[in-house]
Amino acid sequence: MNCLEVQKRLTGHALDEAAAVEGEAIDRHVSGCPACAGELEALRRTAGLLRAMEWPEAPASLTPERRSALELRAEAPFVPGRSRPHFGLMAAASVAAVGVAMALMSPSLMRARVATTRPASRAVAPSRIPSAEPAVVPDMSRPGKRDGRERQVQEAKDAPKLTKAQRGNLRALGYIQGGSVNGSVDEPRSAKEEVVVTASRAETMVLGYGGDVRPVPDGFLARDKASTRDMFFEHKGTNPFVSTQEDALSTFGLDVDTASYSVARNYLNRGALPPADAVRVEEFVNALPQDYAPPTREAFAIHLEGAPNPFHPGYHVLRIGLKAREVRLRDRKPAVLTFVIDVSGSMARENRLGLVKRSLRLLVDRLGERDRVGIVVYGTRGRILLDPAPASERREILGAIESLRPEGSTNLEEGLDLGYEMALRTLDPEATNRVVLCTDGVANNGVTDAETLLRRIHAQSEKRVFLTALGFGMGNYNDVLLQKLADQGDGQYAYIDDFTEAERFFLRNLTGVLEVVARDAKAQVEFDPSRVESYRLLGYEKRDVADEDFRNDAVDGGEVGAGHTVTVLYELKLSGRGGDLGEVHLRYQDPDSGSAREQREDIEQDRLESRFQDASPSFRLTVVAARFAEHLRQSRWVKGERLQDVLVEAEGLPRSFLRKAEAAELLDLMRQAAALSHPRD
Amino acid sequence: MPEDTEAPANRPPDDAQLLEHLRRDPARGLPAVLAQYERPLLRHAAAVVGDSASAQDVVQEAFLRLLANGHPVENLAAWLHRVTHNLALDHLRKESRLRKLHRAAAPPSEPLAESADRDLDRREAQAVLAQELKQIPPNERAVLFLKLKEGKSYKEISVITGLSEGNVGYLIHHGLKRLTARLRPAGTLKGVAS
Repeated sequence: MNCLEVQKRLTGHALDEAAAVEGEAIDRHVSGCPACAGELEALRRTAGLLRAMEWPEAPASLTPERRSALELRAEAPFVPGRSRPHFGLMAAASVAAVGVAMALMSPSLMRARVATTRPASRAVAPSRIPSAEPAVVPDMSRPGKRDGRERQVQEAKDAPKLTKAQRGNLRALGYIQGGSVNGSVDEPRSAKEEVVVTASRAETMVLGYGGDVRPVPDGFLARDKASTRDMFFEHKGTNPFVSTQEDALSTFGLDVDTASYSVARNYLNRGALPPADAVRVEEFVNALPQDYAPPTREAFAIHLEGAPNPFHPGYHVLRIGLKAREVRLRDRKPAVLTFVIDVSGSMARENRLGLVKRSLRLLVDRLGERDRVGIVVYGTRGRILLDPAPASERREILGAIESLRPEGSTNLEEGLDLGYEMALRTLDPEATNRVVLCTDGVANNGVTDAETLLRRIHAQSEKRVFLTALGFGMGNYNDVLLQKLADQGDGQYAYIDDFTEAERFFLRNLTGVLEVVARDAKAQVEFDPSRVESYRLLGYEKRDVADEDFRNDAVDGGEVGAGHTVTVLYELKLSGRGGDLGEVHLRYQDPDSGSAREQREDIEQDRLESRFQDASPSFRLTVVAARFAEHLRQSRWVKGERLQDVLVEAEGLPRSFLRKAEAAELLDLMRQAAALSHPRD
Repeated sequence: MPEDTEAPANRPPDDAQLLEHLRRDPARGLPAVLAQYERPLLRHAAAVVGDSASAQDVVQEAFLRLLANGHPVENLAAWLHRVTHNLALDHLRKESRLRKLHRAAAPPSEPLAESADRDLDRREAQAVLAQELKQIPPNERAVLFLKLKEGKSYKEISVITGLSEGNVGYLIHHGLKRLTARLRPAGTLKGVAS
């Protein structure tokens, strides 16, 4: 045999499938051909690795619900009208199979919720959706007699105008009995719309226009269902101009997250524009270092500056800069840290785990003997890697971090549960207790319902454990999940795209990362209607708080760490009359005493410069950064404007200022984005 | 669940017994069938669809079909695997159609092996393989699984999948070569023909 013939048969030979005679011929060739020998060895090695490894997570048994459904079916194998199911439907309806069996067998009512699907763009923030109604799951513990079956049925006239095929399949699935649909049904907005049938949370399916039944796709209903398994970003809308006559109060939670900026940077550095939904203006602005002077007595120093808006003639920009109280390194409270580290297979990509290791080493190196570190890891399952140890035992801690290897799937839920359990066990009321989550954000095992996870995190954070959510990696990255985890966990969310970012995050302000100086911090800006005709808050859409909830301490604000800066931009239409523009109010809770504090500051007229060029360089760069973010998120307020024009404004900044790393980086990103984006009209 | 599975304590009942029992009394026959096939079928389904929830759906549906099947089944193991296999592929086809419609815009991840200029160690290699297995066509993944993890012969795989033996051999050949290539640092691929 020659090489070509051998190569064709080599795989079979490596797997012992080749016939004996053929095998001998191959062996003869291979013994004299190093290339084919190498290939054979490589194939055998791969086969060996594949044999020895865990394949996609395979459950050992069916879930109890599914088993029960099968048992119920076995008790009544013959179902009228279903003895010869339509093949295509049956194949498609696998997701609904539980529902089928339950609906047909269950003695108690299986109430189906039928709703029309909502296009993703119209999805609202899940946090504002009243938590999903409790799923109605048939009581499997009481197997009953089938003839005693009761059903709440809804009159057929209430049913939406389903297509014939949809009705047929709903009937076949047991959701329609004798012309009535089980459960309540929304009117589809058009005949072509798909219908979503929810029998219980676990059994949601899409009923297509043509009557085909399919699992609910990722990102379709996912925003309502808030499944943790999807990679997505979420659009929270863009704040409009508000007439001061109608509403002079602007209220929102403070925010120190910066993830959106580094996520966008990562996209741009890979030569792609970030998805518009990944861009949050406030996180761009807050990613810029600001040199606001720290407060002397209070928790915050409030810095005000304004100037005409160079991008919107006739309008002004107002910057409210907040600087949180600084805490010197040696004065900071001890930290009790629980690292919860994702070691799932996806963390092997792009050396994500390697970056996690280096980042955590940075942090551990800065800790002292009063601090403690424990480590939980999770792949397919969660487990404790290191029981809480004093940070002075560096060798042991770093050794544990170094030992991390990617494994299995992603059981975020179990990892976080174990982490919080550890954090609560070692809770030190005198210290800052914090869970540090390092993940690429994908949860494909354990939890299927993000809401449950978030609620649990929230309950834990009430027990005074803070969360730092650090995002790594890209491609299947779940921005929304991490953002919400940090929000519910009273914490901070940052995206670490490279080691420089890790250094920036941990080294620039370590006490800020570790120690919180204001909890549930909110801002309320009151504009004077005689001075300000209308205003627009740039960003902070995800932190919107109702005006009347400013002093409601049950309503979440943001947690602000020591020395953190928070920057807020408003665009204003001034009336032209003289006088102060309004007032800034801050409200927060002291992290130690838990008591609420307030601060206020007048927005004096002389804070406004008469020309944009007269304002400070940092003010001007901040305005540019926000404008850039608005371009990337395709805000309607920048329609018709070219990113190039924003860049020109940025390039007009003093040379010395532009040499600063953050300014240089921002301009570089803007140039990349300008090259990538097509001029929009 | 009823405790009387009526299976001999030591030896699992053979397929003929299982089927006979199931036909006579489905409610009592089912647990023994589940005990025997639930796990291998879940493994099979998971190997194709790649996640446990979908695998659960697929296998449940396969058993539902067994229960609904009035016809005598000849070879229970092959029948169950074949139904599971087809349902799993159906599932993926539907999913991928949907995903195309609703995929979130994201730049592709960097190629896995690109950063590795050295030989990957065993665990890293397996992590790479685990990722790569998600990328290859489900048909290839399924036959590789049946061959390497279930130890089935090409012939048995042919019965389960309905593919010809030659086709099975080709898919395995192709899949294994592709996976092997991913474990090599870029640029060291040897030419196949000479």
